[in-house]
Amino acid sequence: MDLIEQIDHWALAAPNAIAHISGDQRLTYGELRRRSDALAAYLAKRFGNDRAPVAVLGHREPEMLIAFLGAIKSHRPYVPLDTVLPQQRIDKILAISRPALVLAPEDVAKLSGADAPAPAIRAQRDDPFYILFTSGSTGEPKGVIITLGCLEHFVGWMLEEQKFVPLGETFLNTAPFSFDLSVMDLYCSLATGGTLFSIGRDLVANPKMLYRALGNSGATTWVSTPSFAQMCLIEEKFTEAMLPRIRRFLFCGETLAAQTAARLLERFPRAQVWNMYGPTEATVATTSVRIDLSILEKYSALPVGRGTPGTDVLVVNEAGETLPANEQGEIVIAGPNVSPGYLGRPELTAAAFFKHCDRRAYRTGDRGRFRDGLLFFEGRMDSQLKLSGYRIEVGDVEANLLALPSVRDAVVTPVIKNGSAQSLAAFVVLSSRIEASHFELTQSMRRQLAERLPVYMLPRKFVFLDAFPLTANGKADRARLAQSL
Amino acid sequence: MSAVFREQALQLLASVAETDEVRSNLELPLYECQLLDSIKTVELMVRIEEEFGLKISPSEFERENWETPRKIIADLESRMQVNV
Repeated sequence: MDLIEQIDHWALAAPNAIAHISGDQRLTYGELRRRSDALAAYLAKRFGNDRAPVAVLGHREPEMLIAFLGAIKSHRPYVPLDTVLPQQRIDKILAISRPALVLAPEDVAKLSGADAPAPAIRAQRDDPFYILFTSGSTGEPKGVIITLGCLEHFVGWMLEEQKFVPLGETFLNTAPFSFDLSVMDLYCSLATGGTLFSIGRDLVANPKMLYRALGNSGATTWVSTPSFAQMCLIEEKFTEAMLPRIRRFLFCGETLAAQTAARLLERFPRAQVWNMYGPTEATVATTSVRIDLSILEKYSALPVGRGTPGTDVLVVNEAGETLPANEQGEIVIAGPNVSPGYLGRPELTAAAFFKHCDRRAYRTGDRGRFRDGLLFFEGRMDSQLKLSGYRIEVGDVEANLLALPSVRDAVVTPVIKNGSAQSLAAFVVLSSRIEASHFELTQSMRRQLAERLPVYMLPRKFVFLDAFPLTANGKADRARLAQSL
Repeated sequence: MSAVFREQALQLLASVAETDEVRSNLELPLYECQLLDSIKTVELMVRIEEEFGLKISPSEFERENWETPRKIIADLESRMQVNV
């Protein structure tokens, strides 16, 4: 059985089992199959076999799941887009991905009503399954292509390692579907007949409602960034009593602090805590380790674990030679979970992807080392950073700032607190003098930038200067600017 | 409640929101202007507990009560009075 057959078989084995809960909306496995088949039939009839992707624009509605599977069943990859993205960003993504159509939840509702069998043609392992857009250093988002084979390798490994109980799990979905962390909860849940319980933006914005929803979720498997769990831990009632069925916390997307893991183990003594690591280009996560008391006692900075079976995780020097244990270098991943590259960007693909022992390999740009057989992530080799798990290229924010008519020059740096990036600061030279207070100028910049970039990419702090300090080479002195914060 | 307490509370808010504007404009819509969000709200709760020993439970927190600097001060003052 391929992954789609595995998901579809729950429609026969347990048609009334709940596949997805989002607010008041419920979707059963029976409906998911019937409606995704109908949508696939519509797509095949209307667009033939051109294999152009289907863009899906929404925010955790059950129709998004129907659209994802409907696209795949019509032999097309999907491009997940969240409604939180500004229109200009969406337009850029659509211009790059050139979808056959853009589906909103209401379109899916209309197009999936009929009873119609899905086309007989099935996706093959090398066929693109989804295309996920991440921040690109030049201001253009870049689309990472993930194939059915990549996804099956990832999901297969997760099922093997975590031993999810078929029809017995509820997965917490905290990340938007446009963020690859959500692939973990979405497909592990669908593959095992589980229930995906989505936590929408409205809940995150209202702590009272968030904790009530968590308490009602019946979650057995927690999937989030460490930041989200850290936020939840502020509430003293966030304990086993609130989530009595919880069996495991799965973390990926950013560094898990030892203190967060320790507090979770204390408050949820029957649950396991797992730390995972991997770039979007290698399908969500490539390494994992269970964080228990012995790991916490031994390491102050937590390891990210061992590679999945069938995947090579290497630490290499500048010449690409594998380094021995304890030496720091660049983390390289090779194996069936590695993406074939970026959509329509052969130069970027050639720079980051290569063949290693006849397998696809990806240079992550992450620094790390092996110690005691475990991989440790030790930061970036370039200016890419993570904020609340979101990957941000500083160059992306700068390019979008420079595109504003009122901006002559811009430098963006992370604001570091307690050793990690907390937010972004922008240093701006304006094209001409503007009579406004610093606060008004800051708000105006953020407003203009918010039309081009998602909220998580907006600098919080703006510093307006007449000119930048320069290095000996005549470039803006980023180090001096960062020190001035 | 004392003017000193209000000033301390505003200073704390200015530090979390990363702007002094909150001290001069008490009607500033903090969430609308994205000066506060979920993470910043939680950060402010932690700082308030550290500074004033006032514990605010996120699960009982109403966002409407913290929409502006003036509302935050009023909320904190009423909590302090209950705590006395």
